[in-house]
Amino acid sequence: MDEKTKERIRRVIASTFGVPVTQVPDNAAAGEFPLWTSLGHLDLMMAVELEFDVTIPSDVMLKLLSLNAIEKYLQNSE
Amino acid sequence: MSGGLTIDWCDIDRINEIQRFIDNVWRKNHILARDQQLLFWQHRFVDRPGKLSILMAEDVSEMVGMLGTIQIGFNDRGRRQPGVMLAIWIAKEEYRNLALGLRLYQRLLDEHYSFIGVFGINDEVTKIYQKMKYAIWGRIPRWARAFSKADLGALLAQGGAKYTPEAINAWLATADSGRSVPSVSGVRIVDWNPLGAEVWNKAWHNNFAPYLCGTWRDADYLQWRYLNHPRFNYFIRLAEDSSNGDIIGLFVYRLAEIRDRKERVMRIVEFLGSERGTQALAAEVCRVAEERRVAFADFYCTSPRFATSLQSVGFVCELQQISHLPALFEPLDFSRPALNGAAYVRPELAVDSRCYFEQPDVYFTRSDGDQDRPN
Repeated sequence: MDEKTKERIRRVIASTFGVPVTQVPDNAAAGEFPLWTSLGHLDLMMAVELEFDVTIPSDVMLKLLSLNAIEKYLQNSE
Repeated sequence: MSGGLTIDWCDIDRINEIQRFIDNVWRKNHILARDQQLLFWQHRFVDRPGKLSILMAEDVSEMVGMLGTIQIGFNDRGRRQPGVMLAIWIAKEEYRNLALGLRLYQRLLDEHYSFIGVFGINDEVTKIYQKMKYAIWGRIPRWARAFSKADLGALLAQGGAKYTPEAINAWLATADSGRSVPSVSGVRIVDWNPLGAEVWNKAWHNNFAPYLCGTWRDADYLQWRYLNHPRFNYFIRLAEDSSNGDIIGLFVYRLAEIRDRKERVMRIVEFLGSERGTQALAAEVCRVAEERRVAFADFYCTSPRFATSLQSVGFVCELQQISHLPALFEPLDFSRPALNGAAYVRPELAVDSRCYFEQPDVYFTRSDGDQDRPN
């Protein structure tokens, strides 16, 4: 996964939770932003699916609770 | 997230804590906070003695969330799979932005249930299940028929402006449309006792399970769900083929009393079988409903095909009526929305749960999950 992809994930996180991209750290995880609730997380997963044109199984969605986990998942599903 | 957060099955001896948590965090005076016997019954955990089937989240030693489950077998057209129905799912406000709700759910997935279902969910929670790719029943069909016109008329009069004269008449007319109940020869209606468990298990395995999808309704389940219920009296009737003793139908009901009123309602919670079996049972429904002078009888089921014989004795689908009948009676409540639900199966059973549960052999009723219980 190149830097460009990581940036795309950061942008998706930022727009889902309504924060500037610059405020999304490399190790961002659930709990980082007030809107990263259970429902917010599912919104994030749908946004990731759209951005990367992938389908994330629902049991996998629940394991992707950080930027790193999302990145790793996308890497493996390539 | 606090480093001290743990999620695990709750010990039985902590049932008081669960009740306090429900009362304080979920809803004051909720039935499960008041009724320990009901809570214990609902969350028995056969496979894990000493535990309740409730996942409890604790931060150090403070309870901060819970996910109640009802342990069931799931019938995948004759194959028994591990399954759960979800009940109360709560995270303390200050833990919600830590996605604690999903962490509880994730812990549940670690148990590898093939089926997860839930009935009676609010709009906000429905969105969560939709996003988790569950099949959603926005409104589970309900069939109903008037029996005592006087009692139903009196009951609907309590609904005030909700019911126009036309709407009331449409419901009362269902009592007349079912007057001629066909007789079915060669089928006997028998009680559960004394041989119910043995004969039902044989029938369940051979005649029912292979053609259905839903809860694994063997004798242990019926015994627990209906006969051992701590608060409600359910009645089980079986249709038996007189020629060979085969069980060809199942009908379970209870008579719901209406708080502070004299009318009563028959709630049919199981109704399935062969065509002859259900025809004979439909006649039994009418016999009991008239004998006990119920205002009306109702039956919720995810698939219309299971209501065919009831329709032949005058039951109508509520969706086709001008108005809906009250669904809660402790107290009488006209405002509650229809029963809804959501279900998921693991990808090993179906890649897409939404397609899986669209099939006509999917059979869930009001008694699945935690909905048919006292308030």
